[in-house]
Amino acid sequence: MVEISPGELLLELSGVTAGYGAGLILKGVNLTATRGEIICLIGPNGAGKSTVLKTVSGLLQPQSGTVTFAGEDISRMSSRDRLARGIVHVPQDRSLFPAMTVWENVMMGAFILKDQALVRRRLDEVAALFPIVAKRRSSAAGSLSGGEQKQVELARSLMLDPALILLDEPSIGLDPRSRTSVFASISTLANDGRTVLLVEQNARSGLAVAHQAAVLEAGVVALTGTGEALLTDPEVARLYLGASAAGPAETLAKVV
Amino acid sequence: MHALIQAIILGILTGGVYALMASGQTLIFGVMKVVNLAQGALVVLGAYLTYSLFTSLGIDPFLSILITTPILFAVGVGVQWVLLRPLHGDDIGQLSLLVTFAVALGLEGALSFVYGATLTNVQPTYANFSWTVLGYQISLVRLVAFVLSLVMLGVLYLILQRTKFGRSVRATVQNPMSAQLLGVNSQRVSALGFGLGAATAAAAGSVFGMLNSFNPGSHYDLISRLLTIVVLGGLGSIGGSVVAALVMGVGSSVVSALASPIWSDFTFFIVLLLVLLIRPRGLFGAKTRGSL
Repeated sequence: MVEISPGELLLELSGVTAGYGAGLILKGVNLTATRGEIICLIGPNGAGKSTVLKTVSGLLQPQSGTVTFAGEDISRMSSRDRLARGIVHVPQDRSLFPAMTVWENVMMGAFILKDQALVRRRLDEVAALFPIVAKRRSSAAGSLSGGEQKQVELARSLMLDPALILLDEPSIGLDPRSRTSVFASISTLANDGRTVLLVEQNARSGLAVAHQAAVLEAGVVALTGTGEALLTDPEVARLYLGASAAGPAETLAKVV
Repeated sequence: MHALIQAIILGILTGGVYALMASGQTLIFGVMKVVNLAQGALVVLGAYLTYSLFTSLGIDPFLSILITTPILFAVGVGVQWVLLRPLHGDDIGQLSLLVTFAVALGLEGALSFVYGATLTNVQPTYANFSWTVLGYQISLVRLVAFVLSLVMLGVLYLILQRTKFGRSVRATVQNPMSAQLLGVNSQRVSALGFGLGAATAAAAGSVFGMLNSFNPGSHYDLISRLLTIVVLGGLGSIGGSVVAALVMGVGSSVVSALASPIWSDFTFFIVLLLVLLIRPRGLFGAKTRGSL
């Protein structure tokens, strides 16, 4: 894993364009994230939020521009090499292996590790943070509720002790209580100096946990600021928070 | 009554061997969604390899499995790596059907070239030895074949359930994209999975060669039985295909004993038709599909 001191620049996207076939989805994205911060990406459907995550994890190669991670240009690197450098991607769709046990699922998070003693140690640490791992250890992952499955996915993402976690819509399809616990867990993930790049449809909750935030519109970053600043920005409120009159205090209260 | 029980015993012993062949096919389908039409031809290849090792080097047909298993594993990996891996696009399923059928025809042609089309079989000295237990005949070869199949199925089960490689195979079956995100090389898993599936044809082949007369064209009959078993077991469920193989083994053996051997092959397809009419996803399809 890459060692970086706190506050240091960890991830930088510079002029990234990417897409499928002829159509470009990202049209020159500039974005930075420092170590230990949660950065939330909001924006309308089709703006390219998930695509940003894919260019960072390597599921999609940028057509131009660079992705720099810990000072290294990783734009052309394979997903697996990026994984080995500590970039973990938790996709939007259910990503557990439904017929495998919770324990096996979490173990798969350490698939690229050879050191079995290290894997066991990590497993203990992860189980301490996410009680569900020990509690439902031998249950088939598919038998868990949506909220529980998300907790296991988050637990699994920690097995590599990553420097950067990419979370794509972690609260989608969850009931309000599970949603609350997912956002609580996101803060847990960002402990120990990890950076979390979060894409969230539920902009209000996303911004509330984020240190930094960016609005993506039509493939470019239209606005950046602290999570709090965007939460109280009237324009952002009108477009993405579905409220106009709500003051900041009220807004925050609704989140919890 | 005596004839019925005798037929059931025979059916179970035969079904075990089919179970081994079908588990390989199921594994390949589960990992790659490829219906491997060459599985029957791989079994026949295994039978001929056993035949050659036995007639020219005098190696016992059961012992020869130690040699033929790695050979068929390599053939399977080769087929996947050279012929299936380059396939791309939405119609991979149909393309791979054609490719594996081509492999079956290629193997048939090559075997005909080397061995000719005459029916042959592997006849060790103990080929016709049998015990009589409580009045029922139990053939040595069939019994050993059955036990061997159980052992091989057990090994396959342990590989899939208890090893890291097995976990990555099951993960790829259940969620390929997610497995890839965690660093699993799906092409490598596919190649090794295909190899493992083909390797089961080695043990099945030597047993098949001892129990049946065969020629290079025998794979047509075999593959139609295997497809029946795999579909009946609910495509993609190894446990399901084992049960289906036993059901089919007993079914055809009982019909053969009570009615006529002519009807025995037909039984396979009648049972398949009936099951699919009542349970379109096969005996175990709904519950276990996509999970091995």
